[in-house]
Amino acid sequence: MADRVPGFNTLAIHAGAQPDPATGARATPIYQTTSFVFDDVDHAASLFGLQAFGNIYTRIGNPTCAVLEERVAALEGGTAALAVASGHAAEFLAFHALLQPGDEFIASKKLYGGSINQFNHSYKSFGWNVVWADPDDLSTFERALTPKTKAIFVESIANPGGVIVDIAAISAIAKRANIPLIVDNTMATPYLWRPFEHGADIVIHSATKFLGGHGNSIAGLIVDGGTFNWVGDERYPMLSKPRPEYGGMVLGETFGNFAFAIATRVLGLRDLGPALSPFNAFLILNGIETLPLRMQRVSDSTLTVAKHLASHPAVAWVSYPGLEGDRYYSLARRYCPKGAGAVFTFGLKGGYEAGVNLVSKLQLFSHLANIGDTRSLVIHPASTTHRQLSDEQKVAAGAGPDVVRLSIGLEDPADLIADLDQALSA
Amino acid sequence: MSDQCNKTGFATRAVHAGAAPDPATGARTTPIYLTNGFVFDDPEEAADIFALRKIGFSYSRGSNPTTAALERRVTDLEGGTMSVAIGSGQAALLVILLTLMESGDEYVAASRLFGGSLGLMRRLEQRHGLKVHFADPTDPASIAAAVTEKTKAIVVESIVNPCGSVVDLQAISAIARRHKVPLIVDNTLASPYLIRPFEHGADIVFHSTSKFLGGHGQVIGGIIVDGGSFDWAGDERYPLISAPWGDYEGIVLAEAFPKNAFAVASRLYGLRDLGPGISPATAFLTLTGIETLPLRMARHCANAKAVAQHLAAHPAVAEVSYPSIEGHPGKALADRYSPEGAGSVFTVALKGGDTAATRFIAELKLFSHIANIGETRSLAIHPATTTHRNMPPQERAKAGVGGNVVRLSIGLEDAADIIADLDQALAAAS
Repeated sequence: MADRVPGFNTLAIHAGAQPDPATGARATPIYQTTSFVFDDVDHAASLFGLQAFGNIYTRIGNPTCAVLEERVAALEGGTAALAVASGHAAEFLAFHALLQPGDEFIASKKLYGGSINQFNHSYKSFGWNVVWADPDDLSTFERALTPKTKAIFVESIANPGGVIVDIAAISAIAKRANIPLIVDNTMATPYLWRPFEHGADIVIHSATKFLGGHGNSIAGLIVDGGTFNWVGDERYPMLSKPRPEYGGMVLGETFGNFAFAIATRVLGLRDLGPALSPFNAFLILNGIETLPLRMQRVSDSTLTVAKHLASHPAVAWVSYPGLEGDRYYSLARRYCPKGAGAVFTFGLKGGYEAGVNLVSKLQLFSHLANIGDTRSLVIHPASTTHRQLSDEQKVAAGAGPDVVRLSIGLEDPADLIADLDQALSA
Repeated sequence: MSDQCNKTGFATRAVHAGAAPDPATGARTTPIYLTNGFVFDDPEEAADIFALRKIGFSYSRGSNPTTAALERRVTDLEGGTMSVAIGSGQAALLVILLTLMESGDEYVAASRLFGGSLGLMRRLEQRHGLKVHFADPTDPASIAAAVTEKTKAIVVESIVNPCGSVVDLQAISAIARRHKVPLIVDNTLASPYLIRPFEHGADIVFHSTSKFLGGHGQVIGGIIVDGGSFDWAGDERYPLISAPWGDYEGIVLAEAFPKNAFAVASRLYGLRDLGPGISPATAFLTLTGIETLPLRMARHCANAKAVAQHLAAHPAVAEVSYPSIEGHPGKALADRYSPEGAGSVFTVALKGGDTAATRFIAELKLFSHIANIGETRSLAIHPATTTHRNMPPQERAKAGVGGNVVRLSIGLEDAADIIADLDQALAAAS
């Protein structure tokens, strides 16, 4: 058994978990505690000094959250992970460990609107400067590189839906520039796509979405791929310089291939604070147990629904990489052969008004700002998630006025098609 | 949504039935209403709710909005008329029996049941005079022979714990109808995804929601589902349902709630008087688990078939009870009621006897040695010394839970990993 590499379904249920040694409880306990007792003063000191691993305080770490971290690290094929309060917090702490004031990073413009806003506005307060690039034209990434560029950020299956990013090609650019590649793998999940296998160095999740799966808990994860060499690299002082908070320890040296995960915890989470509730971690873990079943089902259902819409008279175009003839079809076959995910966009011949009208007439689909739920969801990004962008930015982000985005859930596809048909009928 | 529910597919209803966005806030998931009490509009409303003149929430032991969403969902999926969620499957069975019967009454029950059900029935007979006549559920003729004019109910499991036998519900319900007694079916090991007992003539269904419905082995709960099919009106054998309640202004439940009389009776007597309420937090987690019920049950069955097939051909194995495999005498009946498979709980008898069985369990690494069934993880236990220890030894062997028997509950892990773990443990035990 020790020699065997467990399959993905097995890892989804078991990785990171064990029966509770104190009681034998099989399911992971919800350690809804703020603090943990120390054995003695020396034990406490060694924990605070990072000489030993253990539980101190739930803002820094928690045993329920730890199971979630190990589970997702195992599923992604990473070395370690950090669970945080949200996907936004995950992005924030990842960049916090990498960037100093005045630094730049390159980001794909095909992103979740919330990420675009965070990069364009909030990061200005820290002096972090985003330079936008187009994942459909890799030369824009090359041209965006400057001596100040410290990272590249892309999504794997990308917002607002139906975009596949060529991770391996962008990873090659990142490696040539000797900077880490960060991939937001929220829309794919490790069931469909494991970015570390294609050269990513750091993976981010909004676990709120497909990992948790049931739309009940906000959470985020940073996963360390253990591939980037931080040692001696002065561009990343959080990892390469002696840290005054920890008696001059150099995290990159002490923690080797999981140093990045450690840095985001002991420097980022500890000081900036977006801790994940143990109860949320418990619920996300629950969802992950059925991740393989859910992702396969929603991908299959989405293909069925997308095909139906592609031949519907009211529909101008459908953007879903699972459809043959889609511009990203061959990239999808290469990177996520099991399925192209559950989120896609389509355009209505009737434009903006038709989009708004459709959203209001759908009954089975829920109109709300989320994706990756057991329930099918619909949104008109131009008037909601991407509302704060300029018209130009909206179109650039694939969220033009006629665009409707669907996130397909676990319902019978026949029921989803029936609902779309009735809502599309005049 | 609720009107559309009956017309939509099972998977759709597993996600949506019984729930809707919260009208107060728009919250998409069902809120967890961890509250003991609910304010009344005025004293008249309070009095009306307590007197059953109005339906409303008063106290979470009796009813709660989160719990009500779970009740509506299970009602929908089972095709019943109303459900009552309760603290455990054990409490569900207790409340069903006590709502229908008093001391001195008699009923017929399957001789092959979950050990806890058997234990409860024996204890109720010893201490409270509820006389049980056991009959083999896999032989409808023996059930027919056990029924007399004093019989007040028949109780069976749809898929039997622990062997996985599928019983002939239609044949048994015909017997119940002939004698005008309600048929009660414990549908825990099937779930409504595989078998819907009301479609085969059952009158009352119950579950341990702790198992496949909840699905993740984390929360204990039960549910009683009224099929709305039994004619209680004027039937003096069931006074709680057909006779006036003195403390409720003489209400006759069969008349006041013609489609849901049994559910109302079991809520009033079982929850208001006896008390085993369910936590709304448990109801929330159970509701969440049900959203993936179709996916999970399909995989449980596919895994169980592969594992059972593999074990049936294993040299260390004397017998595999799972009926849905080629060559098993129970396959035709199992396929008739549950073509995808007879769930994922079954027993394995080892050639090496008691010692092999206990050693085998100790050697399992992926499987958890645990007293549970019907969750994402694969589980194993030795029934003779645990779940069925209260059975007299000679009956144990007859019931297929002798000392050389291990009960398996197959989970959702990769079948190859499950089989690898079983193989290495069998090798170590022989």
